[in-house]
Amino acid sequence: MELNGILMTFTLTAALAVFSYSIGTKLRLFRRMAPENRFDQPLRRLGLLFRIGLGQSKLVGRERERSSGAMHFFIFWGFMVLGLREVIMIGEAYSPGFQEMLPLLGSDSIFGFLYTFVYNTTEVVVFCMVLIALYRRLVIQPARLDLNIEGLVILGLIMGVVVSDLFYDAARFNLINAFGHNEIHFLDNPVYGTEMTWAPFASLLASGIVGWGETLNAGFFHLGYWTHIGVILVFLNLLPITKHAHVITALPNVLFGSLDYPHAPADLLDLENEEAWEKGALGVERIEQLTWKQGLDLYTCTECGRCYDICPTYVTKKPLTLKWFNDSLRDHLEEQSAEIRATGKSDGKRALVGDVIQYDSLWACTTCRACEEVCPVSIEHVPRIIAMRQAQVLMSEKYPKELNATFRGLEQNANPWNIGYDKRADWTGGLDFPVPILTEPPAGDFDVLMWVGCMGSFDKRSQKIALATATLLHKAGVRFAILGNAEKCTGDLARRSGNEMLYQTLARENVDTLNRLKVLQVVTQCPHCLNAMKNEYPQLEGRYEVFHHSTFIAKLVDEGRLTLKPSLEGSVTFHDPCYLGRYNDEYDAPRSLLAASAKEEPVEMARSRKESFCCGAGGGRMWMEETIGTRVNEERVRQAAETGAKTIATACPFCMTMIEDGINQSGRQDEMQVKDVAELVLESLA
Amino acid sequence: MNIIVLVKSVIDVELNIRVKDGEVVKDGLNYILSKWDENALEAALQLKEAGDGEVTAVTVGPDRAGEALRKALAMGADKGVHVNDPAAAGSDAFGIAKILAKVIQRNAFDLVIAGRQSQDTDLGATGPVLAELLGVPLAVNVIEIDPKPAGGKLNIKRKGDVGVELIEIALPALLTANDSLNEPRLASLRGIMAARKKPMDILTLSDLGIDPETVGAAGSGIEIVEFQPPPQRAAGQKFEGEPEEIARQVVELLANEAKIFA
Repeated sequence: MELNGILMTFTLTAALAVFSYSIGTKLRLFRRMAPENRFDQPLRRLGLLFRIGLGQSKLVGRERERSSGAMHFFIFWGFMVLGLREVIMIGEAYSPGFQEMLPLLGSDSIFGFLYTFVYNTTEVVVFCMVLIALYRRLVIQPARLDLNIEGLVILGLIMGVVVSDLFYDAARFNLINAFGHNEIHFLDNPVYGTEMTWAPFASLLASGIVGWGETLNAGFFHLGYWTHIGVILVFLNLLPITKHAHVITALPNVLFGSLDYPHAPADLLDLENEEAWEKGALGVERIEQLTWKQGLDLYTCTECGRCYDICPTYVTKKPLTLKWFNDSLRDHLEEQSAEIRATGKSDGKRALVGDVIQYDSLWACTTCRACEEVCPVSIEHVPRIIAMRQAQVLMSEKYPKELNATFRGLEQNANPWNIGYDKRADWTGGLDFPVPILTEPPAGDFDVLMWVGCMGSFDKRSQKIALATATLLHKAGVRFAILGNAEKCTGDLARRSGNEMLYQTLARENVDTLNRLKVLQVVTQCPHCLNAMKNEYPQLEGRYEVFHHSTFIAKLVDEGRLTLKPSLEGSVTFHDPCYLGRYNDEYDAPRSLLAASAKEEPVEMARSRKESFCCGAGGGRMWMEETIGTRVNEERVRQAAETGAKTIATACPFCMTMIEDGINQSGRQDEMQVKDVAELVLESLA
Repeated sequence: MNIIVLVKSVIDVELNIRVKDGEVVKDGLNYILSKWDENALEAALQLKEAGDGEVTAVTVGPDRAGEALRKALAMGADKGVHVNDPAAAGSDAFGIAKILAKVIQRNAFDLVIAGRQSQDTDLGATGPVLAELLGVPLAVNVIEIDPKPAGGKLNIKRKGDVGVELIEIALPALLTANDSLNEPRLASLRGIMAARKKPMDILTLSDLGIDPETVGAAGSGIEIVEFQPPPQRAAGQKFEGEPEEIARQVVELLANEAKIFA
């Protein structure tokens, strides 16, 4: 009863040769794509690998997807467990008893027996999980999954792997126990007993087929073994060429994921580089201009669709369906792969934006990052959208023309409405105390600079947030100042809409001002300003400690510098601004302020915290028309109304505007109101 | 087609214009390309893109006018001419038109496009006076241009007092642009980079053979004696109460105070 080592050598060599070729092709392709250093900080990277990869945190960590996440967890760990099993199985073909040679896995150690129990149980668990997966695809059919043959074939192969091994083991046990083939190796120990007692499911199956006689059992022994090896090798070679490459690429993709929070900021393009713009090398307008990691992202997507049904554009029926966005890019990269490997360039016959992906898809994104938050394999969706917008704006000059007025305003008066820059501090007229304007480097007179932002400075409704924030700082005895007319838009909206030139102009001017005035601490009531100054200005040597006003005010309350007595009547819910929550990980401070200001316990919307639903204003969308599908802000207001809340609290002037518009557009102005947390705190001062 | 576009650097009127001792306080003011000039330039660029030709932007003014000219080049003008001479300061519309006429007459041209007025003085005279000096037909306040000239004529629409006039104008001609003529493009990165290499002629009055006594403050027929700040707008009035009551109050005020029915 011997297994054929020559056949194994032949099969294995052929399979590994094909596999190496497939992988080599991809590696050669990645080498031709834009470079990016993702090999730094190995310890933190291992942290990502353990948490997101081995811990499957994005799969089992999400309440909404916990059941399917658990299913995947077991399949994933099934693969990890069975990996060792493959080594043993292949070794057996060359040398019966190969397992005895492996450290700790032979008959003289308990671990070999324990491993037998684990893999045998795992096979059954994986079998059950595949059944659940099939049931989900064929019967439940969740919206985010699309039924395709490829997915079913892959599930079938996984099932083949575990079933063939179960039959191989069962037949093997029978050949040894019932038909006297003692030449077949098995684990045997006077204390632990034999392998069979540790493989309950294979033993059970063995008792079922023992009556079929020696010949059939010998047949199952060989058939089970070679089917198992064959399926594994076919599976291995199918992975790189199908949409299931994630089995191979997911762990590397997680390992090489972005360490910057929340994701790597947009490239600080060298706009003075004439060669770059002559060659069309600013932003991404050809597929090979994506970085190799973005290329890996494309191959890693397995179309699970988590990004798709969490996306505000999907819910409001816009033509950005992220998994197809990824899919289209991947197909294009694959189609151009040979050309790129040979010449370093794609053939350019199909425009990346316009032919490969739709123009409207590129501009529908609000950069809210919900997709990145839920992606189980760390695909970075937003940076590549920004990079593609950069090429559209800088090189092709194709972008929603409504933005022209906004860009002009930013250019001339450093605010989106082109209101005279010298009116920026006019809002302070609504205060009953003077606010110092910082013009000289502070000589210890100020603790913090209040960054008002364009909305707080010019927008009538948002001015009330600025007034509330300033009043709270004043009442708490914080020594603060503003920049007055020297403050300019941080450039966030310009950068998200691809106008890197305008962003850099504004950001450099702000950094110059802040550095000249030796500003160290900043507090702002705009999460977009917060994100730009905290996460993106360091690229321009602007390094400050930047606080969102909710964080800062919560600290003042904690320190007892502000005392609150709940005053808000009726139920209230909190809308998490994307740039505060997902971009800057602040979920608790605004909630603590809300809890201290409201008489009723605040209620949560179904989509909150990390999975909050964007108001629709991010990514420059505030300044573009929303003509496709339904309105994002109305959808968010509908979600808030579901909680029965009378007040929607938020902590971002853009969210404030969008939600207020949403309330009015949906005729709820008599039932609901929207307030910034600072306003609620001010109303509740004891 | 050889197109000349007249551009002017003006105070950004979005800013608070403060007046002190009869003079505009220059401190804190920014200067931009006058908005109707952007429409004029956009029209010229569209004509060029529809056919062929060259767009030359011309300005008269101090150093800062060079920035407005550079902006025009960044938007897409092919070359610039900057008449920068202290003696030209204080010119009235006639003086400016005389200088511009000298610049334009140095070469053959098909079309001159100006803004219908400048954003700072709102005079609206330079274009018409220049047309007279050049001896070419004039259409002011143009709202549409058919980009294909036929038989040496251009089909345009201009906005009159009460309606729109459809005009066939023989080239060479001078047009002044209404702001509904087009949506001016922004200077792109490509444009800004390219503008650095575009030719810009800087001329003085003597280069143009102009007697300094005939232009500038010296040659001006008008003198600005004093600037006065615009009157503060009175605060609005808010009505509250039942719709019927509000309507009654509003009608009463319109009739008796505003006397709109008188």
